[in-house]
Amino acid sequence: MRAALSLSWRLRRAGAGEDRVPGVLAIVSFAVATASLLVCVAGLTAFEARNTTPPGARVGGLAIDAAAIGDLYVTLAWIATTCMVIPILTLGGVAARLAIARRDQRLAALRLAGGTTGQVTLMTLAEAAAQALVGALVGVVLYVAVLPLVARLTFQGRAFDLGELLLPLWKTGLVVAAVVVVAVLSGASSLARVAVSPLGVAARTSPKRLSLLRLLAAAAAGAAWVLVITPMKEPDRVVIVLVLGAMILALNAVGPWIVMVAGRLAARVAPTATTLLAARRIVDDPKSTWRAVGALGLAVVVTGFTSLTVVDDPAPGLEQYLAADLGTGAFVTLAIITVVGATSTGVVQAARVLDQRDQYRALALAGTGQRALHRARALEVALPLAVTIALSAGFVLVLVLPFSSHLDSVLVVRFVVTSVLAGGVVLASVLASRSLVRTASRVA
Amino acid sequence: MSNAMNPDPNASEGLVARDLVMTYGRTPGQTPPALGGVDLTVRPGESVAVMGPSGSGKTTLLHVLAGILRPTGGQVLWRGRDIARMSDRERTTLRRKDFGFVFQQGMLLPELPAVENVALPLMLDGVTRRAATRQAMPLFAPLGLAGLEQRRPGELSGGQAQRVAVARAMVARPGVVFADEPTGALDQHTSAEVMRHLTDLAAHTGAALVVVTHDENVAAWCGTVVRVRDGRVVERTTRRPGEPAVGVGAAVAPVAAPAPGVAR
Repeated sequence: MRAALSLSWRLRRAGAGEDRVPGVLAIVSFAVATASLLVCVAGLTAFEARNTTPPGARVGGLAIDAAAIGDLYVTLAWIATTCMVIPILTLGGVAARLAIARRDQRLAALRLAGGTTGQVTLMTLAEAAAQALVGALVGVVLYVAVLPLVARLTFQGRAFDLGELLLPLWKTGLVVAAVVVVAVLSGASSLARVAVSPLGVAARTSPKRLSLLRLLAAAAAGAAWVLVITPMKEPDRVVIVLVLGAMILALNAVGPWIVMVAGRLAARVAPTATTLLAARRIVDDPKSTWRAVGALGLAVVVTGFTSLTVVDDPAPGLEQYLAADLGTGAFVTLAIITVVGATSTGVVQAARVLDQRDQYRALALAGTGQRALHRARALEVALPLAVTIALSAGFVLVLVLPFSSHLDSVLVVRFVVTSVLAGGVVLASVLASRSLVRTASRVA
Repeated sequence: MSNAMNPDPNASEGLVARDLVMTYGRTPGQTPPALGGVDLTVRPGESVAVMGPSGSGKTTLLHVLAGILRPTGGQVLWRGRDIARMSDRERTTLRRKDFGFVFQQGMLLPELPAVENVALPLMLDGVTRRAATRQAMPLFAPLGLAGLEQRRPGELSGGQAQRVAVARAMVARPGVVFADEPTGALDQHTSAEVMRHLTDLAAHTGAALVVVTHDENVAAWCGTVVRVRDGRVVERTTRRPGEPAVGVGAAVAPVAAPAPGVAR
């Protein structure tokens, strides 16, 4: 074990220049994931703390007279956290996969040189854990840095105190530990193919069709919502969170299938080289494409349902803030998921350029302009993003519009504009790896 | 054998290098030039093997001839125009429209089926997908790739992938095909197969072929062998089709027949 760890450290130190880019990207991803997770947990803790204020107490000039409304806030905070946690943990997984995938060849070489499966596994997981720990600690700093901004958000008629949002050390430590555990687990699952055989680097073959079982899983989760939650007059918070979590996981199962089908259709009709390249790349790896855009689709749905809600004749007290707070909460959720989605997209795109730098150079040598290369990458993100946002926003509007006799058109416009903006931010993250494309396609 | 190292002033339809100098680094004189005054003419339909030891400047020569590197001095004339004076954009367009490339590892795009890899250069040049595919498909059978059109690079053998790369280099009917160690990753038998297809196809389309190699067996497929040492052409050997190459072993195959109407 000591030999493996020492060799891992020596190899890390020997890595230089471009080889360090994946490591830096992984650390950035872990940092963003940790900071986002800490903000979510901090918000949730703050709402729970506010809700424990004894009835009749006055906070910010308001009487806390509506325990039910306070409870609703906590439930909504749990729902928002559930929506955010899965994409955040997915980002952690993306980072871990990046750390592992970029080391495929080196690890396979180590196996050929006589390294045992145990040594290779240990080295890789130690590396993923180390990167996750460094990233998570950077994330803690990031979280503390953004707290003053978060504290300016107004809920229940008052802004947060910094003290409300500052998590105790043990909770912060727990979040850091969770990120490291996710990294190690994701790393272990990604590692299997390298450990199986010394020649474990996968050949790029035709992508497998994703199973239709994914559709059934999504249908089952939808049915669970209808059959379990809907009949409950006052559903328990834990049940809501569990069923919602199951639905999000089911959505994550069916999402890649939808992306694959959309990619196949686009590949079939693609009229230009850049569209064809983009579509083929989507079909090639629909799961990673979905990882980047799926969370945003979900966030758009949640934002739509909550931000378009109109509270009729609100009672004085907390209820008068409910509609505005629902909107604020929804947009905060959307903002965090947008940042997480943009980071995922940026990191996945950067990793792809690094993986395919030889092909990029070959294309450039053969006379492909950089504009075409950039365009193909942008389309690769824009196509699934447009499909996901349009489906999500359309889904919300179709469901909400017929039942809203006095729907505020300003709210609808705000919802649509925000959704498009969120998509724009994720799309813009592709720009972050433009310099990598320029470097990879430099011919002279 | 001849030592005709001077460019042919009448080869205005081909590729002519005049007194090419290439120095790496910002302070000329401190490092020896990679190319120290190379003259070379590649006529239409001609196949030229550039040979030399590692560091002799053969890959630099290929890159300068193909407009990838701008030479420090001298001219590279393609159909009468000096590539060295073209802008980056013009050279990019030139490489796309007039030149084809075959690399050591094929460098096919892993996401695309073989036929789309071959059609891609045409599509990048604005040809419609249907027309590009129509132009790409007939190249598969002559290259022994019939039935493999929808396979992805990961599902092809090394030799098959390299033949797809040959088809990709030829699909736009380039004036010159540049091949940098095109068989470097292949065994001798597969290497001979790839070279046979490469020279046959070049001969049939009338494209000139410039192959950088360190393998005498590969060079034997070309009509002309240019030897480079320390950035200079030290020998140029030309032979006619069917004529045995000098100093090459028994595995040597005859030089491919030229395309009808193409003068050597």
